[in-house]
Amino acid sequence: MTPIANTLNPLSPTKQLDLIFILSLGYIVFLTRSLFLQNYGETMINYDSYTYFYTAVSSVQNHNFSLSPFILFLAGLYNLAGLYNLAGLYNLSGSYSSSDLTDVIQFVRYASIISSIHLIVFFYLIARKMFKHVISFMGTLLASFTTLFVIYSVNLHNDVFALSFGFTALYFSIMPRRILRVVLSGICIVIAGLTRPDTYVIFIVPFVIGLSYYIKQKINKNFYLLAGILLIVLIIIPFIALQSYYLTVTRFNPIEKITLFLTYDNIKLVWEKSVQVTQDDTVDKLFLSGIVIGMSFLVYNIMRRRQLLRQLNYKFSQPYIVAIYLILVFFLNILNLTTYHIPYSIVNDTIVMSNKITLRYLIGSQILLVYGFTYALSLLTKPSYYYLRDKPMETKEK
Amino acid sequence: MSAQKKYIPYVVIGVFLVIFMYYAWASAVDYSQDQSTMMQSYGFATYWLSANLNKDDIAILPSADVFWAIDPNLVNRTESYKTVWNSSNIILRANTTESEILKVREDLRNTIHNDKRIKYLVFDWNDPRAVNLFEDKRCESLDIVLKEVKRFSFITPINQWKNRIIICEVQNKTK
Repeated sequence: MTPIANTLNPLSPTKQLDLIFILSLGYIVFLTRSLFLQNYGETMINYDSYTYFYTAVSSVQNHNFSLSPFILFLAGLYNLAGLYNLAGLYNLSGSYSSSDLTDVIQFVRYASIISSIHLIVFFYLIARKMFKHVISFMGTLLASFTTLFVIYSVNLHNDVFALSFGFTALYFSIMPRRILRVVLSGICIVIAGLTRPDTYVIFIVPFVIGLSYYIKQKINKNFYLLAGILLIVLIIIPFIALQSYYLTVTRFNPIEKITLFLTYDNIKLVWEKSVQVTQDDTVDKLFLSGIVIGMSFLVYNIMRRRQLLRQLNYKFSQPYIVAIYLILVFFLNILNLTTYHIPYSIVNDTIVMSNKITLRYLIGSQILLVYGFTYALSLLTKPSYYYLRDKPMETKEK
Repeated sequence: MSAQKKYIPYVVIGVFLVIFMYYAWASAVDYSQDQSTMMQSYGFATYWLSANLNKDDIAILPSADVFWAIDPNLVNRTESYKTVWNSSNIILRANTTESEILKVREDLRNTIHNDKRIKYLVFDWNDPRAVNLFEDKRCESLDIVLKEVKRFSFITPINQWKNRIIICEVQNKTK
């Protein structure tokens, strides 16, 4: 390619393809959510959504500053609705009446689809670290259609918002070599954590590994020592800081909750609900089978290469790092759901678990499971002998 | 591998994707329609209160943020059940006892009788602070001066789940 052509076409064909897929995914997500909102989602379905919206409106009207990034986000969108109104792009009266406010809620709900696009873009970028373009695209498309994700994309709840920043933090934590990536990852983990403290707990481990990797590159200290120190500091500080918060919502401290609630029944409940991605049993079973097959092959592949222990060192490849990150995040998420999100009552000094879980908590685990399923899809596109013989496909074909 | 064989896996994946997207979308629609039906009842109750609550009247609301988000003008004319519990110095927890609930109920009765501004008490099926106070889901179960004046019932279209929001009026108030 000539220098002039290079200037005109700065992106490599691979990146051009990525850009096309990302734009397509963004468009698909916006289109599907808009259609959903227009036809089936006229009323917000979650109590908390109204609370968040009301808090955002109050913070704008009373000039209060909220520490929650999600409330700030909603307040920004609320102001945007006002600007649109001033510009004549949106028809509202001077001071919002009740019916006007319903319109404002609808406007804010449309605008909040940006969070879902954000999440899906980073889902794709993370998938790209492990899979080829088409498989990443198909996996992301599948993730974008998971039932709970579709529903909560258009209801003003903080789950999708927090997850989008969690996934962004994870993406920038993948073997960072530049300080900018570490800083971006740090900012995103803080935003995710301030939005939902449990998101911080889930995504902090990849962040610590990424940060330790970066520091190791710069000062050449022991990676495990750095990771251990950072993990302790970054978990103990919030643990102490959040004590007062915990005491207001529950009688148990976080450690006590793990010992009491991490039971087989609770884990089983969370797992069963996580793999219920639709209301159709056959589709759910196909999805689950895909994950099981994918994970079996992944374990087989790792064991066959006997690189597991070496992979745990910091010299391993990006796809393995990403796979380990995702597995860690998934298990931390299951731990978090099992421990902190199962409702309970206390009868005669005995804890009675309710054997149910609020569905929206499962958005993260369902999206993470799609990576496992995507891995199974990627296996379909390679001939099976590639896994049975230790030879790359191209060599065999030659 | 021939070009045709190369594309077969992608076709299989594409077919699965279409099936998955169809069922996931259908599940989302069903779930949303059921939940929307439930939440619409709050909208109807809010509009009714906005129309019927006079300037100096007060209504006590369950899930108050929902009402306030739909009509912020109600904020100055309504209280949440959380305020009622707070004024009794009782926090609703997993092991809140029956005697604690009785105390809140008694305090609320006294408030209704003493505060002439309180005109409506609303209760739903969701807010435990309200549900716990209305034993058999009737206005009279809290106090005989309460009478049901409006009911917003619904049946969810998919699961056929029934419930309602009830508005109780405080009777025989002389201002």
